[in-house]
Amino acid sequence: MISWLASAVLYLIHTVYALVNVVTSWRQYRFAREPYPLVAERSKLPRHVAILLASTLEHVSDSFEQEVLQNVEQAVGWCRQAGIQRLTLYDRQGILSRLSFDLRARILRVAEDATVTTSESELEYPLTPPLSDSPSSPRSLSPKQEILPKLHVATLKLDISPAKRKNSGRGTVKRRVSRKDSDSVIPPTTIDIVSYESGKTAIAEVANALVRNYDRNSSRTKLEEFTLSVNELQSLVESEKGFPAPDLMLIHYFTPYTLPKAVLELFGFSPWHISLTEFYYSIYPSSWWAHSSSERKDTDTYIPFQEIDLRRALDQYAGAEMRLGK
Amino acid sequence: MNHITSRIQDFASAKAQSALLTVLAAGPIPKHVAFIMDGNRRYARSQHKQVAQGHGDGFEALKRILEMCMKLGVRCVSAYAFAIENFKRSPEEVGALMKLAEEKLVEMAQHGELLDQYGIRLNIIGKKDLLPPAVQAAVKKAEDMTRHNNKAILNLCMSYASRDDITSAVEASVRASLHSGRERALTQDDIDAHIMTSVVDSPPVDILVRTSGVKRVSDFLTWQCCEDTQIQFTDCYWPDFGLWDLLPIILDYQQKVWRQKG
Repeated sequence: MISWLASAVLYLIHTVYALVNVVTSWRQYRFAREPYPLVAERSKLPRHVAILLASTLEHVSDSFEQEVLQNVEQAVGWCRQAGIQRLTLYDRQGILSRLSFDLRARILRVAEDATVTTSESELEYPLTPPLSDSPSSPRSLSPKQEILPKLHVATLKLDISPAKRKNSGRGTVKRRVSRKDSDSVIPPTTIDIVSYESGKTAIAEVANALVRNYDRNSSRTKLEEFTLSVNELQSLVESEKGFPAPDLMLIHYFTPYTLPKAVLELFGFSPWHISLTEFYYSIYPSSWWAHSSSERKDTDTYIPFQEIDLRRALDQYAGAEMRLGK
Repeated sequence: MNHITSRIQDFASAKAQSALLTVLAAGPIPKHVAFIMDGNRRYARSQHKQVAQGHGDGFEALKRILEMCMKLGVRCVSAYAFAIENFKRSPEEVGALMKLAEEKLVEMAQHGELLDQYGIRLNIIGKKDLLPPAVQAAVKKAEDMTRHNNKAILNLCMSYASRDDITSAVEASVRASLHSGRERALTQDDIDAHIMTSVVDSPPVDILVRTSGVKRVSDFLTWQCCEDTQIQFTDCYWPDFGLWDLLPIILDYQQKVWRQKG
């Protein structure tokens, strides 16, 4: 076939495809089924949900910050209402990481009686003892002292504690909810704020820690070849300083989507953690309609994540069948 | 007469398919497409067939789609044939799958067959020592038969799991670092070099397709697909997957490339 003819036909096919997408998108926008309420009887509920804030833009300005904070605060509220125990928040640009301090403050305000404990794994934890004075005496190391890798995860733990209970140190307070408490029992929530560095980079950090620790473990002979099992790597990557694998991930485009149909991408989210994760995203983002009439080039508009998105995602998750290989 | 009509129909449809593939090839074409071939068993049940037959139909679908990709100009195709988790299935089903692999691997690599026709090098990727010895032998034979092919690549992932892939890559990177006297810190590129698809010179994955409506990646190529890859979920069962299903996937890819060019 002559190449210009092929190109012309291809252009035609794309035009027809675009029209089909516009029509399907409009039908979704107008006639989509209402999802079940946030608190509803669903056959299964995810314990751990991740929200990936995605953008088709290469560079995102800082002007979103306040809106992101507000929206995340809302999202935390909805998740807790729905009974979700763990929430992981991610964005490729690192906006959430930069805002983690402000986020902490906001969440503290929201849950009035809650105590928030935080941990940040930004620092390395060398647990080796100081060098002894005499240079000739051997350093005695207990085999358990190891360098832990930087996993770049900020974790906030929200515990509801009765106002009169005293804190014993800085540890998390165990929750005991008496029957006299209000009707809705809100479970404790853990929020992880992760960034691009929490993914492949963190795995490389684990590798570096393994290299350094190989030397320190004096019980190994030099000839023994280093081995690593999946379980060992899992315990390092999903440790307290890291985060566990989410059951459900919502991908939300927070800048206007330029096409009527969206295609799923993962924007560098940690590959280790997504093995069995159920993905939810809006194939026909309603933001395309909301912004098609107004200035479409206005890339500074923040499209908030909404309660209805979470409800749809929970519905999808409840309908999913896990066969686990069998 | 019916026989002739159906032959004309087949001929016309084959010509139409060819024409469509040529038209698509006028635009950007992905370098590497990966498939999670899910739904063979449900397909078989819906057709009132045995599960083993479903897998056989699935294999035929793979050949069909592989050929389409070759005509389109896709130079690397990866397919999830068997997960490490799948060893948990009934011994009968695992046995049937292993037998299918043993037969078809060498058959595919024969002179005059698909892999030879398009110059496709076959790589079996995964924790191969978990496979029965007869399959391991067939794997080695088929890989040897196609090693000289250099026009395209087919990665058949058998006894594969991404977490195992990543763990092996970390293990290999750590060993390399220890052996070389750990001159510098390891980066994600060092790990990437030991990832199973990189080791067989596969380019980055552009599109990952999963059939049968499941919205997960089930531990397949997660390292390779978590960045710039489009992940497409389609409802049809794998044996039913055809050009009509591939079409929107290619169109979506082309739109992405054109949009990125500005």
